[in-house]
Amino acid sequence: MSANQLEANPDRSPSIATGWRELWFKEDWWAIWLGLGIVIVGYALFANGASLKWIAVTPEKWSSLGQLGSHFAANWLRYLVQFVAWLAIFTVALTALGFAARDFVPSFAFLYAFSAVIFVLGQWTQANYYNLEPPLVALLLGLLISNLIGLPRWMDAGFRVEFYVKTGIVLLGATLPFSLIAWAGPIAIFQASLVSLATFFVIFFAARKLGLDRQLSSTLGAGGAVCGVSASIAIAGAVGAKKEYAPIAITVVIFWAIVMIFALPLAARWLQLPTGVAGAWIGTSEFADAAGFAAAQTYGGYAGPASGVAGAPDQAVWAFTLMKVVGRDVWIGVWALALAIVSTTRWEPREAGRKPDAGEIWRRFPKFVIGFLVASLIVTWASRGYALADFNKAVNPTLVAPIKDLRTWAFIFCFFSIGLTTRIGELAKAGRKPFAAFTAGVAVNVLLGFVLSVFVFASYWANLAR
Amino acid sequence: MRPLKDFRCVLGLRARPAKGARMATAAERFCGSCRYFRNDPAYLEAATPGLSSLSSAFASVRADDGLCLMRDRYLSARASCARFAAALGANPPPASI
Repeated sequence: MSANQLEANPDRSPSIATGWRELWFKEDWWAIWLGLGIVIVGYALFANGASLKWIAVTPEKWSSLGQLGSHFAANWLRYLVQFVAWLAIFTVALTALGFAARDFVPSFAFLYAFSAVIFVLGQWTQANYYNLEPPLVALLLGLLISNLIGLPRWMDAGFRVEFYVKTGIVLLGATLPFSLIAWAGPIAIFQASLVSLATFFVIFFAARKLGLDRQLSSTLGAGGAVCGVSASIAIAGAVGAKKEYAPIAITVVIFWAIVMIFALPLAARWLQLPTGVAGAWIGTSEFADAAGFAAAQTYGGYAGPASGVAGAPDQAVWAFTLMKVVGRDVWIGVWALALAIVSTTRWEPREAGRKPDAGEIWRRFPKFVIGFLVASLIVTWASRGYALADFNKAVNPTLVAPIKDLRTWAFIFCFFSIGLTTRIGELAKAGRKPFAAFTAGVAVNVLLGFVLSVFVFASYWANLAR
Repeated sequence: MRPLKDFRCVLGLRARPAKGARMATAAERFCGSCRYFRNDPAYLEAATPGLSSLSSAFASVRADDGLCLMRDRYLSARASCARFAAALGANPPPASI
């Protein structure tokens, strides 16, 4: 049903009050159920001497089509079972969220087939030389398909960017030791807070100087400072913004987020930054989780003697996650509460029909972070008592590596979906003033993030997990 | 053209409840129970260009926010105003978990 059709029918029951129903009506919780479900099954198999390895199949490195053909001839059944398993669990989740299975199933089949091709391309031994990193290929291919060819709108049921990235983040928790989160988390929070505050106030005051009203200025500011589109939509609701403000903020956030997916890894590579340092910079200076993971995973792919980039590939993703998810995302409720208080007491006291309450912090809390932390705790607990050599021999290949492979699939689904859902011609026209104000914040955000990641806290990020 | 009862609502007068609607108590006069409020995630994604590209209307950060068709504002479901008009089969106040 289109927006116009719905507006023409004002007697339709308007509200879906969530409350406890959030547990099955919000994708954050479904990402937890699916992600933790996979981790628990993985642990149960591990404890009984088995593994998820068989189903967590991924394309191997290849240099000739013959090698590639042999791999698929030997493993086609594993791919088929994996596809069916993803399809089954995502269908359960998305039908609970209100999507039609008849739309989701063909759409996901399309997504999986193209994701497999993108994955295969990334495993080519020459892929690095030609910059065929899976996140970049997925994004570009998706953008080309959605903007030049176009797909039917019903297929969007399978292109759930946020759902896939949240499921991937929960799975990522299982590959990140909890001790590392406890060690680096406070630094990430401190660094991210400095950059978030500076970015918000630069965008807010630049927008005010350009004559934009407070609600639009704060919606733009939060988009740059906290978690991109999600923050803009949350703050628009908290301050009671005009309905056109969130789409304006969304347009500028998407523009800069996509620019940064390409610009930050290229700049970091040119500067030969270690993976952990680059991940921290991307975590401070990207605007959305999905876009940031694309940039961080791309940079992780550059690691190695051929490029001269120091550090392990995972360090880029780990540092990014700590900075973005732990350092920035979890504070969205606090931002929303603070701005709601300012809005209702100072900006529009007569318009306000409510008193903001501290419950706002929990209601807007990105719940998938709970799944990320619990997954980390489960695997950290499962690995207790293993010396490093034993962990690398017994736990890593049978428990952690298969979960990491499934996480890689979830992220490719996400990166390809970003391109497939970004229809440039349909975005709202942002206008020069919002764009200029946001761009001022981007400049400060990127520079400050760089100084803090590369100079002030470099030792933490370069040595992450050593 | 909007019906008369909607016009009276714009002026801040109490709208006559739609046929079949019950009278809302003071505690229920919040946007989440108002007939002009829309916060169905599918509706919001259709009405907000780009929302599903790098975020989602199904995300926890959105809470219960939605669009007010009367005031053209994006609001919390817990907000309220003088133009409130009870919806048919209005939901109870959203409870936090």
